[in-house]
Amino acid sequence: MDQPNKSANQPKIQIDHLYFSFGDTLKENLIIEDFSLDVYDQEFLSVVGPSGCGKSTLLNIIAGLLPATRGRVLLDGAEPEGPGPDRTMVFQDDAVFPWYTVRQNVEYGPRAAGMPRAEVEATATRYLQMVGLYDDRDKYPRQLSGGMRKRVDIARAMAMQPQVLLMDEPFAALDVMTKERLQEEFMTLWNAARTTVVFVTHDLEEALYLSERVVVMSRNPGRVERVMDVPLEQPRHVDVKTSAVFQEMRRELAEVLHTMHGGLEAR
Amino acid sequence: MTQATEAKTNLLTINGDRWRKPLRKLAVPALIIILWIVVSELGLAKARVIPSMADMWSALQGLLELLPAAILTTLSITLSGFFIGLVLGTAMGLVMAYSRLVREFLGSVFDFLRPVPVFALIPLFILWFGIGRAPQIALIAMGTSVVLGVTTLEAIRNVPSIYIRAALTLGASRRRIYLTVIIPYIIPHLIGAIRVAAAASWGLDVAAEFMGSQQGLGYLIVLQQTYLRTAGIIVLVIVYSILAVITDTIIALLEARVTRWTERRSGVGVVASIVGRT
Repeated sequence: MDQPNKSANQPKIQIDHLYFSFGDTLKENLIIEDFSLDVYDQEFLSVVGPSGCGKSTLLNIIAGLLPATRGRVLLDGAEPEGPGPDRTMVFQDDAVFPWYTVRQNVEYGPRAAGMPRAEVEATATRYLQMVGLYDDRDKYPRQLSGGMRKRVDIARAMAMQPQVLLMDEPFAALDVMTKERLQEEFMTLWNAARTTVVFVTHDLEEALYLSERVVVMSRNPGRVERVMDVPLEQPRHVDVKTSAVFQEMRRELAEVLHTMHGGLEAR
Repeated sequence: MTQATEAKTNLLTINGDRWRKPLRKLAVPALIIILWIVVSELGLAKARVIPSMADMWSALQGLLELLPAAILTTLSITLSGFFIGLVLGTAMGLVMAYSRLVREFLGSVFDFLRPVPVFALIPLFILWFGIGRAPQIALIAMGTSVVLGVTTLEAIRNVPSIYIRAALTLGASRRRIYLTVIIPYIIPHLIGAIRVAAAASWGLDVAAEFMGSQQGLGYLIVLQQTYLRTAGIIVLVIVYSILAVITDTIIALLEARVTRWTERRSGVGVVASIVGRT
């Protein structure tokens, strides 16, 4: 297969014949079936699919928060043991620690990594400035809006400088305006940092706008239905969304989802 | 309405509220005291049941000399028992949640001890530790620690998994998660139990002093009872109440400090009125 951004010979993440079931046997409650996929270094990959297709489960397995029932997930060719700071995750729900201030939240990862104090502060300051929350650094999360809290969450994850950033519908709970703002902001951040991103969403436009490759998952059980390249130049401007190429790809994705399960979930 | 008159009406309502609120708070206690005076002065009840205000005053005078030492004894017993129980209980809850091994070893002992009525242990404690401070402190510590141990375990089980998952993917170890996620999260949930335990400590102290002691407020109450001095008993009960209210107020003040991050105090308007916060 010809892949974009194939900067290293070895894929960053290799998902190798992965199965996952919540039941006692493999057949029972099978969520993910024979899922194989390579994610390349510095690639932005999105996973779309109807709700309940196991895309969040997939992300949790990559993060090491759930064990694979069969098959394995390799990071740089090796199987990681449990969750780790090399695979940081941003969740849909509010995961910002409410008992810490904005700054303490962003400092959390670097501190856990045992970074020297001065470096922790410098890192936090840099990422707080990137997401435009430096002036709000001493506030508690409850004093912030939902969009601002999501920025804290992203800054906290990016401050880890993780090899892989896993994002589980991070913008799904936000209103449309905030969501679009954050997509743009995140696009800029990613272009500056160029970390490998696996982004789960049910929003086709979001997937196409942000990523370089979109994987469509089927439901019951979850499998790779289609992999689509997004040959739009980076960094992307919002206007790209109205271009003919973009709209054509969006139509195609929607069609794949429709023919699959009726695709009611996908917009 | 002009701005000036509007401001004036606002001021009036605020002023009115400022006076009405404490008045409402004091109405029922004042009524009880008035009723008490009326009943005792008119001789509607025996002096042994409801003593007069003059009796109360002379009882207080008579006790005044004994009070400082008694208060000091009672205070030191109750507070040491409460603090030992507080530390022991929360530590036990934390360790039992942290370590499966400890949970398996201590869990059944804990489940067995929890429903045991602590007061029933008083004679046993006296046999074990003799008469004096040790059995009293041990009793209070035990009553407090069991309540707090159970509450701590329960609060830890209720920590939302999203915070733990986030901490894990940020590279936090199990120990770090306990220190930076679990403990900060459970503190506001423990405050209620800590207040209940503090109040219960005073009750446990009274019971312990009734059984065997030669000093302290509880001992004085027993003395008053043997001489049928109702007024003296009431005076001592009031002293106990004042001490309990002071400790509760101190804990409430500390609570405001440690729960600054919660939304508990941010609710205003209708919501605050529904949950009885105003």
